[in-house]
Amino acid sequence: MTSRVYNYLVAILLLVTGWSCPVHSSTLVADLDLDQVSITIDFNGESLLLFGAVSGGTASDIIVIFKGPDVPLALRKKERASGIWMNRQTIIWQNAPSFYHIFSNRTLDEVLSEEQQARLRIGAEHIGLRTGEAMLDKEKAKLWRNALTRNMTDRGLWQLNENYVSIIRGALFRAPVYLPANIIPGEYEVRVLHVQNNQLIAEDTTYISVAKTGVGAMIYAFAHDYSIFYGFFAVCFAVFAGWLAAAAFRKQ
Amino acid sequence: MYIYLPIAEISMHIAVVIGLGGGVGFLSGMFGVGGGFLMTPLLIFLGVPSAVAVSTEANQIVASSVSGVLAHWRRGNVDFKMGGILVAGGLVGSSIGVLLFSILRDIRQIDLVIRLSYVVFLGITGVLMLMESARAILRTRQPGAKRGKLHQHNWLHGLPLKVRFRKSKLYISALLPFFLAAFVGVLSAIMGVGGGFILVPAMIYLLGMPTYTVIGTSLFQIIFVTANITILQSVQTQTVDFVLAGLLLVGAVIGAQFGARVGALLRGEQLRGLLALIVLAVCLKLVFDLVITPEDVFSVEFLK
Repeated sequence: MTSRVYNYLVAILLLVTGWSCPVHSSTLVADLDLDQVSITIDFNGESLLLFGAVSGGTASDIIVIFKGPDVPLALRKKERASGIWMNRQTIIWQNAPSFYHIFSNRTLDEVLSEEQQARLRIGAEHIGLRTGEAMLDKEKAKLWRNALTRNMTDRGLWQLNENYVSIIRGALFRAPVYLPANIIPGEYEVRVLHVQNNQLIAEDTTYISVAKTGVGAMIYAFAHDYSIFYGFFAVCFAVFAGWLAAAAFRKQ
Repeated sequence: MYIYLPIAEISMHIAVVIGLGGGVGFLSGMFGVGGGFLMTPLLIFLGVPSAVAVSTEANQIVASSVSGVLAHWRRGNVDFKMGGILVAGGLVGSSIGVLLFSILRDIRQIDLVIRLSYVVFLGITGVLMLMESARAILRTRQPGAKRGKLHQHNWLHGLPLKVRFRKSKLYISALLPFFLAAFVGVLSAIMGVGGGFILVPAMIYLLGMPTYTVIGTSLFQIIFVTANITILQSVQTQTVDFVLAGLLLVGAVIGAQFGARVGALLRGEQLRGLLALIVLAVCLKLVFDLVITPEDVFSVEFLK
């Protein structure tokens, strides 16, 4: 942890010292305190720190969009049939982000108008979610999209974190990011926007990869690449463990 | 300490996993049952994907049946001839079950079918067991009640291919145990259970086997059926999480030792009555979940 804080301080220092170059337009630099998130056997989510600096002006508003790889998602609706609830309708979303957290220093609506949010593609309703179905009518599409947002939010995967970005002396900013244990591996995109008076004035994008590593990754690869051997191994392991248990308790 | 289960792809606290194994192991040691019918629904309830729960539980049952059968084997209470026929039927049935499982998974109704199977079979065995133990408890209070014959012969025993089973003192058609085991095998594959809770009563009442060979012989058969399910599911769906199975087993082995000691303090019919109540409670919980209006009628699933 200390080395991560150290990295953070060094990066801030570099950003601040390398600041002297004469720029007219505003620029923005952002980074994370980790290069990679590893899903190891003891993985239970990961806390990250996003930090950065603004030059050529004061940072008025900062918006961060942390987005995981797009995946196909099935959204199912249960209906009551002969007394029991069962899945009756399904809509497939072809390009839903598996992780979508937005951070801002005040409420998003205070920072950007609805039209600007749409133009800058911020928020689940503005990222062009496609369904595999024929055109739904507007009312129904909204119902299903809200249901998707609600379900993803319940899982901690989609979230609007307002008042999460702190701006320090108008130049530096930081935001704590939490990646929950149910994230999927892949390339995560972090878009940082500097906004002033409802206008985008600077933008930076950085990436971080989430990957399975260590024993867990090996077991997963073994199970998928050599599945028949994995099956036999699992059985042999169980027979041995069962025999061992019986032997251990017989002696007592 | 949390552990990220590599196949289930979820993070669980290690104490929760071992505690779950211990709790179910305690009950299985106490009642002399495998406990799959409790473990699989509990795993699903804790957020393990249902396919992973079913396949992983099969893997764990291999281990618990091996450790259980050894004692019966030493006492000579395994009827290998009957066991062989039950294994043959069970292999056929469980292979069909795994196939059925992946078809149901593809048409997205596997969760419903798992739940409905639980409701139906736990309901039936729970009620039958409760009635039987109530009768037994009443009978012990009326001394002098007449005991029945060792077993009743019915037309099913007279089907072709009659075989003599010396250890079980039976001369019945081999087709009967074969199809019984095949039927239970299908259920094992779909429900993630060993099937002892159906097989054991059926061996006693339908086949007419003497009680002392039933447990050992059914454990012997369950090893092969659950091993078959483990291998087939590994190949077909890659849903066997042996890390999860191993951790559950650690708890189960220890829990079963304590459970067996507590179980020895109670009479057989009291134990069966208590087990019947637990079976019915699980059944009712599942019925309740199917019938009440869900909190959110929508649910999301990642497609891979």
